[in-house]
Amino acid sequence: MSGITEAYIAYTIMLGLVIWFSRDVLTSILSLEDELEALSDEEVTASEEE
Amino acid sequence: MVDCGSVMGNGGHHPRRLSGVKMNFRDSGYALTYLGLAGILFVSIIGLEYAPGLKPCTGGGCWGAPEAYRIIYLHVPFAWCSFLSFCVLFYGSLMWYLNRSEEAWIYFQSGSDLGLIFGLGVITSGPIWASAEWGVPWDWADMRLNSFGLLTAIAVFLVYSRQSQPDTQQNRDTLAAIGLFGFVLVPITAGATKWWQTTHPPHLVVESGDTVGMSPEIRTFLLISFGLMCILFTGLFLLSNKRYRLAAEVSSRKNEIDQEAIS
Amino acid sequence: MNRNFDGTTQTQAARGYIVSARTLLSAQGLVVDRGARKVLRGVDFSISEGEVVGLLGVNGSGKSTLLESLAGLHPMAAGIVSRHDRGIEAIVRDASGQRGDICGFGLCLQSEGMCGDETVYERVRGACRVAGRADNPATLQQIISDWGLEHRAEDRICKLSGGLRRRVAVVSALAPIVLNPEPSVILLDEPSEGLDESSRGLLLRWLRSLAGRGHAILVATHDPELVTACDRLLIISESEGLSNQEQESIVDSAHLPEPSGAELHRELAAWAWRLERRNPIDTIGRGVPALVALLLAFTLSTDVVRSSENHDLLAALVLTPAFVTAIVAPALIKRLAEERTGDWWRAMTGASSRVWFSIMGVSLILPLPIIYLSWFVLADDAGSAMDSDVMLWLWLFAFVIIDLSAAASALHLMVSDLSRASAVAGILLQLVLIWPFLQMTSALASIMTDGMSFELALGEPIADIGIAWLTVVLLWAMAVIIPED
Repeated sequence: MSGITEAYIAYTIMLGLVIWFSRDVLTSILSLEDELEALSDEEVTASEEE
Repeated sequence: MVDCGSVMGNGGHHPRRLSGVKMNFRDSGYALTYLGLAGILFVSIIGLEYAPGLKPCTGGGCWGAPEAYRIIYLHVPFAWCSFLSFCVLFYGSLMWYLNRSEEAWIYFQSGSDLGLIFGLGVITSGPIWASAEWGVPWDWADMRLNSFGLLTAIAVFLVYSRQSQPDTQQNRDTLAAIGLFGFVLVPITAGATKWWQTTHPPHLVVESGDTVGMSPEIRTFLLISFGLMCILFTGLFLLSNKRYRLAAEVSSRKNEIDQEAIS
Repeated sequence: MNRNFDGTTQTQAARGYIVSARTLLSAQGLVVDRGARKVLRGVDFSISEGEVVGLLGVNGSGKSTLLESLAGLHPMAAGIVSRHDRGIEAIVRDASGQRGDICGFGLCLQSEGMCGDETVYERVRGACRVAGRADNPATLQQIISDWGLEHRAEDRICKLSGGLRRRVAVVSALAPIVLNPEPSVILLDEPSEGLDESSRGLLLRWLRSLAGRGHAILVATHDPELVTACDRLLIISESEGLSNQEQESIVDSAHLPEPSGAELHRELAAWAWRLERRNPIDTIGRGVPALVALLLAFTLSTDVVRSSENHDLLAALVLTPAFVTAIVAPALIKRLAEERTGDWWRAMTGASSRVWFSIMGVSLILPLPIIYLSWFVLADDAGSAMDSDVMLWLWLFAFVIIDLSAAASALHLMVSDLSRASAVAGILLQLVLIWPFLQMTSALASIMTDGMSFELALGEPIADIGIAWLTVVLLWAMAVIIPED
């Protein structure tokens, strides 16, 4: 047994982890930016109503 | 608290929104992350297909699974990056105790997230390699394995606790204390396992590869891989800080809205 | 109907139109003890369509006990609580412990009754679903935004301040009733406590509008402002029991969203699964001890088992990690204990709650992978491990262990019913599960020695597995049925 299968499994796990995390951080930043924007909109509408 | 004046002062204009995709690349965090990801994908392909492997028999003994040795090209850079993450976590915890600033808490959060990801990479790939090579997935006598295991367990604990607890100063204090406690525990574990190590048969000890019998090609390739991983680490660290800075802004904005009366 | 404190037979609902009042909820001769103290003595109570009834009294007079008894939460020494729903009378709870499957009412306990890992939106939607209401996202968003929670809709409840949590608890009690076209019952315990002035005002207007739609509302309160929204006041005191007082409400009503049709949901299981996905403390809490057990077993087995043909020991070692995942206290117990979340669900799901809780506490994911992992790690060498009959039939053991974890969680639930559950060593009860475990060990050992056989005789593997399974099911049934009375 040369261990190449194990090497592939380990690489998949490690790559999967960093790719998943990068994706998570990027989508989270986008949704936070949208949320912040929506919250600012809310404030603008509130002040216009006043 | 984070100053959110700049956000509130926009008066309906949203520079972030208008900036679009191009703007993203001016932010070095994005560029470094994409570059780092491309880099380690490159390392993976090269590492698995072309990088120097081992001769079945080198030095005094033969390798049980010589190809599994390729795991080292990601495993060791992962381990070093996870150590960097735990340093960030330690710094964040310490600074939180010293000045209770939002900035310190952002470091704490980024450190625990990154520590979890890189730590998980280390403690899953390590046993896979060890069980292929020696038939022993986990060696309780090995200091590096156990301290990374311990730190990763602490990172899991911190990440989940942070998400499930109310964001109060008291909870932050407790979590920061646990972060410090974990880091302090590492040298103690190291010392303790050194005594035990003498009682164990030497063939059980997992070599991390930066010691005996490493050929110059392997070392060079390892360093290239570590360099690329560092780029990814820096990118992710910057992005993660950005994420938690935004989260703090959102949270302070929501707290303000909470105070407004229902119409 | 002739009750002691029945109020009017005709109720003037909001906006001045008269509806003929039907009784929606009633209690007869209610006697409830809390420890050595008799809190309620022979209380008769009823509430009709379109009524807002205020329940007043000093601290410790039994307001909360009465309200929670009406929700079916307390065992009673005598009396009966019944719901009258579309001409059918259903028992909420009686003195013999019998509980009907009632649903579709609104309940806000004095503690919030919510688990901190839910988001605000999920909580309100969950409350509507468990009450059998269709959950149109737009309507739910409207309700949430009416209550000033729009910006918090996706936040976990644990991240909210006390006042906002209270708002969510109140909305969760009102929303399912708002969406219900049939007259229904709302029980609110100190709903205005911790609410700011604007939310209090909104609560008053909503109560009047709901009464206008024919719903019956019971509010236990100290708040003089809330009293102004009531049509009738009940004053409870330890010496005189209940006394009745009529009044006319001066509060305007609010504009409410339109009711929606009914839908059936299995919300309780979805709730547990959602929380586990968000915060997998159950999987981690079961997985870590199992992996430690496996590593210990591995260390032990290298020298002892591999050198001999000791199949009994090897079988026990292979089954131990999976067994450990099963007997660990499920995270559900802690989730149900948080802010009396369990009580809220018990009131909502009626008689079937214990069965559901014990099934939701099952370790569903881990036994199968853990048992195969143990086999691969502990078996002599990988080649013979793959070929063996054990490989083919291990899933059967995982299946029994999954059932065993249902029994274990029912036993944990039994202990968690104690008022100081944290002060007892519940794990001692789990020792009874060692019997099916030993039965499985012997079955696995005989598969290892002689291969699988399907002869139905004592000592044969399939019979041993069957006996283990039956024992487990019996234990589960006893732990679920006995505490019901």
